[in-house]
Amino acid sequence: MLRTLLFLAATLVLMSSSCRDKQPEGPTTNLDLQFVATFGDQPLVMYDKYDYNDTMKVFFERFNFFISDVSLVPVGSQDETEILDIDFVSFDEVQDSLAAQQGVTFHLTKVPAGSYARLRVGIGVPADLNIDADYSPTHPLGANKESHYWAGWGSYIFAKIEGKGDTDGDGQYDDVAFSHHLGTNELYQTVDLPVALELVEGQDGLLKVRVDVRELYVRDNGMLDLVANPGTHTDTQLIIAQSIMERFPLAMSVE
Amino acid sequence: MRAGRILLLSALALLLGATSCKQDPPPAPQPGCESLTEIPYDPKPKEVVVPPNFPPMPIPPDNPLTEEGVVLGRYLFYDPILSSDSTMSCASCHMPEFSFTDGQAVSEGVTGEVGTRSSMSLLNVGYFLNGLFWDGRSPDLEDQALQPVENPIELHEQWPNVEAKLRRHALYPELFRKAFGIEHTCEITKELAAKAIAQFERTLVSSGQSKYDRRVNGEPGVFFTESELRGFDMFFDISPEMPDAECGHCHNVPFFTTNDYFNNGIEEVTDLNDFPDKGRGEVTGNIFDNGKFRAPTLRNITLTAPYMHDGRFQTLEEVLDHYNSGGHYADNRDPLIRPLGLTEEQKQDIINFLKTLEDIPFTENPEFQNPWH
Repeated sequence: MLRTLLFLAATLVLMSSSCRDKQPEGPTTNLDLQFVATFGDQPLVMYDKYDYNDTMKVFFERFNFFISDVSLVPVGSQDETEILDIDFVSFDEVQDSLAAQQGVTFHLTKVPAGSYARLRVGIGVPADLNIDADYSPTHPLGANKESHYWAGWGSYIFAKIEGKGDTDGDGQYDDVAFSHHLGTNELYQTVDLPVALELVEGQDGLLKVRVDVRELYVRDNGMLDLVANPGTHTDTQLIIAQSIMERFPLAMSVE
Repeated sequence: MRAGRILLLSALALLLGATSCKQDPPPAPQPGCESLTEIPYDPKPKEVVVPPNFPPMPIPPDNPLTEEGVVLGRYLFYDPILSSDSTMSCASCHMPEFSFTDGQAVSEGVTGEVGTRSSMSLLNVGYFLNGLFWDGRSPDLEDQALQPVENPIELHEQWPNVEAKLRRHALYPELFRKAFGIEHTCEITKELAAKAIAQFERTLVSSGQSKYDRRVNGEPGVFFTESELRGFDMFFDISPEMPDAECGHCHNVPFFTTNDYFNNGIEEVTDLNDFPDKGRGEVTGNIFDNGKFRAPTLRNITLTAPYMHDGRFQTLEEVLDHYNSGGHYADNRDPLIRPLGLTEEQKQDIINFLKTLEDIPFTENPEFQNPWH
């Protein structure tokens, strides 16, 4: 019975999400939506070493997050045109500078041609999709369910940032291992970015979004203390998770 | 004398005439390629029954499960015909009573040579979509099933020999016909054999009758003990009052694995090139994957000792001691592998929770047993 209800719920959710995908009227074109990650001004390469602050160097081993309800806002309008329902951005396999330059690209088709002034990107899984449903293995929420659905929260993990740090300068990154898993509906973020995008029918467009992982850790008095805050798993660490998620709007920009 | 010749010629003529009046005999069958078309081919779809807390199993469209395919796969799985000296089958290293492992640290092949890795459980293997074997070198069950036959430290046979043995076997041509509709015995191939074995393996799904499953599926009267509940809390970091044992991140529900690859700190190395078994790195060629191995399912973990990819730990207590220690540092040791600070009682609580994952109805399912007995 429970399974039937879950299936029905998942079906309804999937139907409702597919209803968002209105077929555009008028001319369309292709758009590459590219995400690249940096640490400050440097390309983010997993296991490369970065100066975190005056006393600590770090490297990252995972940086991934869900994007959702990605939409473009035309010049002179507030109407959103959704271009991507939900997907998964992972820099986990970015392990050299070439891969860092390439980043992660989504090839979008049938994007309405026009002039756009803003890009809106949801970071995380929208509440209506953030359920324990039997998503297909090819759906972003199905493909990543085992690694990113955390039953204890009743939520997907919206983003994972993991790495290690060297605080004593001995070249060994065994002083701290941080693992920031960020999720629950309250932490969902919508990032609204100015763009100057002209999409012309028959001409492929490109939109390059930069995510600066360092910016996620900037605090008023310096950088987040990773030694004191290596994890964000429990409810009691929610405030740390929230403080990282809330900086996504500051960490993202369009190039 | 002349009359005799005439009679003889007449007799020969009659004989030839009579012979020529017969229809031409059918061509002699090509050895090893007998027709099977008289055997009916009517495959019936087979549904994989899964517990309520499991998602539907993804089935590859080019190998749908049928009753007949699963039957064939089961016969093949348990048949030593796949080995060079007819002494070992898939089941030699994947026995139901050990949740389809072999109870050994590392497995021994037909030549007596031992490998370097422990036999992996096949429980819920149909859900393992991120590579198979400890290092993920095989993309799917159809590919995986081909490999042990020709591995010199496993069955040490050649597929052409196996195909020849199957084609002249008393039973298999009929089973292949019923499963795949082949018309001649010579159409029996390693690919079809692997498909059938994969079909059988996809049926190896949890019964849903473990204490854990019965509890989470709301069976009346089934409750965790206090110790099991504490173990559950620590395993999944539910309660802020209890330590976070960090288990669930790699062994998440419902399969108690994330099907991903980790360095869990069991190997003491000087650098990332120093791993005696590079594991996932051997497959990807990526130095940061060296020493990473697939996180195995913890379902039926009580039946699958010894533990780790090389069977180095004999007991769950040893496993908990390792994780509690934080293991050995390497740049790619998972960040969640860290000293946990668990007390003896807390370690035992986690072991007691792990025991709730024991699923004897699965191991004793008659449909999974040796059909040759």
